[in-house]
Amino acid sequence: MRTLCVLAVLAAAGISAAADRSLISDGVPNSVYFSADGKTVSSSCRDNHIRTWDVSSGKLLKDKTVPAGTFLIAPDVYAERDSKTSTVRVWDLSADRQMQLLNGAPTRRTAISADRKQLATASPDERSVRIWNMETGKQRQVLVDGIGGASELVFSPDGETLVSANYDNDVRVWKTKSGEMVKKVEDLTGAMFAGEFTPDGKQLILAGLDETVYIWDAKTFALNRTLKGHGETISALAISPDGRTLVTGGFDVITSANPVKVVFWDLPSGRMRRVVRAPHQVASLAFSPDGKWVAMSSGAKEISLWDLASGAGQ
Amino acid sequence: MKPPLKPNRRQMLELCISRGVLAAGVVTTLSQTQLLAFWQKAEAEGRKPTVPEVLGPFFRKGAPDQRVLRAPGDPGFPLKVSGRVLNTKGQLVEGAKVDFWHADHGGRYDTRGYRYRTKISPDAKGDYVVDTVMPGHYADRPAQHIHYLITAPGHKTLITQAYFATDPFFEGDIEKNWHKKNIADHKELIMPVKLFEGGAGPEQPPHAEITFDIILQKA
Repeated sequence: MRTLCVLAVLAAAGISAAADRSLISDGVPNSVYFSADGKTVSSSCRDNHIRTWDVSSGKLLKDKTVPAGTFLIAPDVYAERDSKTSTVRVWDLSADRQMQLLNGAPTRRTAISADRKQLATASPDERSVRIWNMETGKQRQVLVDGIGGASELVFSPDGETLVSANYDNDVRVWKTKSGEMVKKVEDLTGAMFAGEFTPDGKQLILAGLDETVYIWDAKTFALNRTLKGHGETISALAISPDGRTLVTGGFDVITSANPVKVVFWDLPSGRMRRVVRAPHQVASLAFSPDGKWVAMSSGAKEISLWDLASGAGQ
Repeated sequence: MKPPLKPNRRQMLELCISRGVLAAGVVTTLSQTQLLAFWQKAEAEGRKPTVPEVLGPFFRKGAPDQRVLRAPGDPGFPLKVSGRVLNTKGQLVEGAKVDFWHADHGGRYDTRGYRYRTKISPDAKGDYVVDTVMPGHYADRPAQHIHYLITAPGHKTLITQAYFATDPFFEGDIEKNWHKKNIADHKELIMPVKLFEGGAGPEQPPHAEITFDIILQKA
């Protein structure tokens, strides 16, 4: 009944419900990425499969069974996280080749740098973030993080900066080479669950529990501005390759099963362009490399595709 | 070093029994002097630090210091939560701050304000008391619980949670169901609940009480 009521409210508000396209999956997709050429979408799914679809035909191209605790962490890269042995195995999905084995990495959250040379791992038990050299498999830095565990880890596009948002509400920024903490944001009053640097590396965008989008200058980490209006806790975000569009996905804190909103923002002006509906908590959002498509996973056995040219981003 | 807080007879008995120094059946025959000796032995063995649990995604910094979280007319069964913040020797921990938050009767956390959230300082005896409502169930974590974050100078920060033995989630069998769905990590955090019928007027409603003593480790 609640679901029906929420749908009725969304419809009354002019929020569209249907995606432009859908990729059907036998398991519920978690993290979602486009390939570098934009022709395929891959996702690690809750049923311990990684699936790859052809975007234009919707055809399932590849279906790989993986161990529990495996997540796609970049286009074509996935991490098998084994909490019992505190190991992380990093794999190249296309080549089906193990890129690195990291030992002594108790891990709840993982991020990889754009050049694939660094991996960051975090565990709430350790209250630390580790940076690993992906070429040698050796640990490079152990960074003291907050008391609650990392809620999001983000590398800057050049790999020189690592950001950890923590469930204790604070955000810490380190230089990856020296391990020096260059900024600690302590005035937030809610954990940040999603984040990205803009493609030019000039801004850091984070959003989370308090329903607000925060945009920082990535050199000084001074807060540039905030965007309000999503109206829900924000669980996922993505920035278009040209840096002009931000998309945020919601989370109803009473249950991840409730429908939520996906908001398309014009980044230069900070205006909301369009609001669409997601069936459940948004787990992941990704732009295609040409900026034409947004892919979304949100607790259903499908990946929704929004065509920005046909309306969603206009 | 401060001496342990002077307990009453009931508190001494509870401590001795909980640490296995005394069996429950012999307590009525003990003189006060004998009980004091047993209590000192139990104290010397030290208190076990409260076990940690995860912080969770709904913590918000900046909660105001408020002892009464239950507003007039709030839905939900009234609940009084009390306890003390002590170290492993049973001594008062000075300067402790207790962040305390939970979902409302309907299972929803306040993410915009500070309903059912507080950050309190225990009183001079180390006691804290919060007047609130029984937390609701929510689908993603369907056991009633209260979150705690406790800081104190010279002590390790503790993040933990309190659960309720009366919670239907445990189906009346704590021994069998305490770890159901991997929600509660420690059986000892499931608190006994006392139920009170209440007084004649609306100012004394029926209510539940739990007592949750928090034992911190030195840093």
